[in-house]
Amino acid sequence: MAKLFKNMFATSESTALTLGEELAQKGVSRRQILKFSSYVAALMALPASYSTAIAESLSKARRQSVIWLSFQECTGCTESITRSFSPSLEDLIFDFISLDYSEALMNVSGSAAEAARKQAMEENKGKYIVVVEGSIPLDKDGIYSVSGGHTNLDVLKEVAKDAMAIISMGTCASFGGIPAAHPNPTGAVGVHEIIKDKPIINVPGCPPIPEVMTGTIAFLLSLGKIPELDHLGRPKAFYGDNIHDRCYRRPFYERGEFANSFDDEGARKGYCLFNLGCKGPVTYNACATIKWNGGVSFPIQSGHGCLGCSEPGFWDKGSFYSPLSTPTSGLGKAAMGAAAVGTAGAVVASLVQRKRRENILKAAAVPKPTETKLGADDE
Amino acid sequence: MTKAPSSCHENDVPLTGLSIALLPEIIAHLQDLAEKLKKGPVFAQEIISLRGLPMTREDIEDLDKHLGHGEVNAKVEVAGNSDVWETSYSGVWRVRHFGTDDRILVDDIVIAVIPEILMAHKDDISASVLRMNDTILNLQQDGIASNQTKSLD
Amino acid sequence: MSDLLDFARGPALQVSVMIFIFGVLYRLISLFLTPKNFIASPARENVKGAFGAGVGEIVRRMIPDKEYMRKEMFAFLNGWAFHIGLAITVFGLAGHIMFFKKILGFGWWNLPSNFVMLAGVITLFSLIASLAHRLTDPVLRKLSTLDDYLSGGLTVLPVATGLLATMHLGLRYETLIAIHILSVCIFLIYFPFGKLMHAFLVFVTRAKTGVEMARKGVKL
Repeated sequence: MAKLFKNMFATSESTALTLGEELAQKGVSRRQILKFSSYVAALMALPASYSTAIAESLSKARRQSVIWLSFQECTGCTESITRSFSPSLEDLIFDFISLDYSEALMNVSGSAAEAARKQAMEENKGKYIVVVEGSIPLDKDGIYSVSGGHTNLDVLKEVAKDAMAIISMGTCASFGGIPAAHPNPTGAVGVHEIIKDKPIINVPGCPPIPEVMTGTIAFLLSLGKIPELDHLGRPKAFYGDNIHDRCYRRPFYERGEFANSFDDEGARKGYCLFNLGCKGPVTYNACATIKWNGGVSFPIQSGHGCLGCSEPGFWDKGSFYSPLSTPTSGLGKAAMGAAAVGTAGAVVASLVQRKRRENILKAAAVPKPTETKLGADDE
Repeated sequence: MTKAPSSCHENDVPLTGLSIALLPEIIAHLQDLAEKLKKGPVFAQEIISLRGLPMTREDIEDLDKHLGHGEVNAKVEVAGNSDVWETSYSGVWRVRHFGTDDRILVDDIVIAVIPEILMAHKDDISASVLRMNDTILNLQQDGIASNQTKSLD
Repeated sequence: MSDLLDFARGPALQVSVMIFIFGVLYRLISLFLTPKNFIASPARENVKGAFGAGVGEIVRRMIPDKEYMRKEMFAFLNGWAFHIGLAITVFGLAGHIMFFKKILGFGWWNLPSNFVMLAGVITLFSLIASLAHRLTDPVLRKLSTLDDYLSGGLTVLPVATGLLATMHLGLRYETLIAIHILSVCIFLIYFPFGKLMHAFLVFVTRAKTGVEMARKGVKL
């Protein structure tokens, strides 16, 4: 952690140097940058030949100023990214950025912290990247989340104004997340519902995969442009495939071999978790390929279905354990109600019909029909 | 990212045939390189990233069997290890970057005179000039200093 | 997860299942509560028991009459293929069983998904064949009403969209499965009010016809 702080809150005089020069001073060789670049290229599914270009432009770049804003959140995203590394390649990302403001990680507090933010905004006007973690409450003018006397809403608007781009880190910043769960008491929303005039990259997940966070930041730094995004504003390189398509348990799904409880024979044999409510088929993320904790495993590999945490509204889609092919809620009562109404309606209608028929027969003075011998004549 | 690069079907991993299918692409790049070099020494490298292909562990092992091992074996120690070796076909290299936790981060085939990762970069060379200069100066000063102490004796 | 899927799994399914249950119960119960027929004519002599006559008719109608065997061969084979295929598809797929389990409270063993998919393909083709037959056969065409085409068409949709969803063809999976569920919703809403109701009534009406036929006319 000590190294992290040293790297992240680098002194500002070094911003005059290019990254290449600065890193050379620290004994980070070009080979290391090249290795990092080929890693990023592989991660983002870029043509491998890009790695040289990425390395070149990274070395020539200045340290990128990053302002990390924490709103209605649990800090799980920060936890995820800061614990991503054994000190290795991924933490090089912290040599490339100058994290000028982060409530969770910075040493200073109070007005000194706010001053650091203002200074960074002033010095890097139009060039800094804003990372937002957490959703923003809108109800009652955003009074539900306030820091230093300013609502999250005000801070976001102020910081976003001169930003180059915004990264919505995690599902809360991307889509509202847990704070926006029904009945959404604070009126929480994601960043893109407030900021309309800046490029926004959504990196959802609860939390996002560390490699996805570093990969996205590295892409932005090294190529200076927004990666290709899907219809929900997520980088296609990471959110292009659904979990189900990339899942190693997929063959069991095809064969119709399912676990029906968490401790049955099927579960022990590692069968498909569809029946236990796995949301893999409708969830787009890189868990099945990049996996977690340095590629050790991911939820399905550990025997639990996917919750769909990188999709909007995953918290309000009925039970995590109800299969995708089932109705989300309330069908039992509705079915009983419909059955009751249908039965009652039919009985009433039949009684009315019988009455009418009797009246007609009476009026026609036809003697009441004698029962025929065939009892089964009635339907 | 287990040690099996880019395999998502860990339970049954048959050969997909991709290893054989890659060979024509490799030879095409190799031929290009040979043509370029006839005109004079140039730096050119083509990279095929195996992690970007849906290859199973068996596929990659099979490919390496076909490519064989050549004369050069190198280890780069930078942010974890990197293995670089020339295959039995001159100009066709294998570059494999590991993280510090020994998982494979990058698994490439590089077609070049020498892979870029082995070359010293000009900026690093410039830095070295300064550093070596410092060392020499320090040594000289040390020398002077020790001489002075001697003379005081 | 698209909003369309939320709508399909939520309100759409809820409303359509309610309409389905209401409609089916209303029609069945009011049918069985209909007062007995006034039959003036006396029954034929030595009439079999009503039960025997009913069951006999049900069995007899499962295969075409010898005289019409050749003419009815297509409808016979195609009809059986389609109905068996549909039953396998609807009641054999794990995802479907989970649906029934949620409503009924119990489930059953599922069949391999690939096998169900094959049954689905057969069902789809035989459904299309039956619609084509209906359109090309001049007599059948005259007999057909909008109800027939609607019943057929509304059965094709869920089968076709379900196959696309399992094969992941065309659109994203969540869109495909949403469309599939919505097509089932339309099917469920129409079901009680058209000829699809034969699923519940087929044996009832055949038995009734058998009983009627048994008492009519004179013994040969």
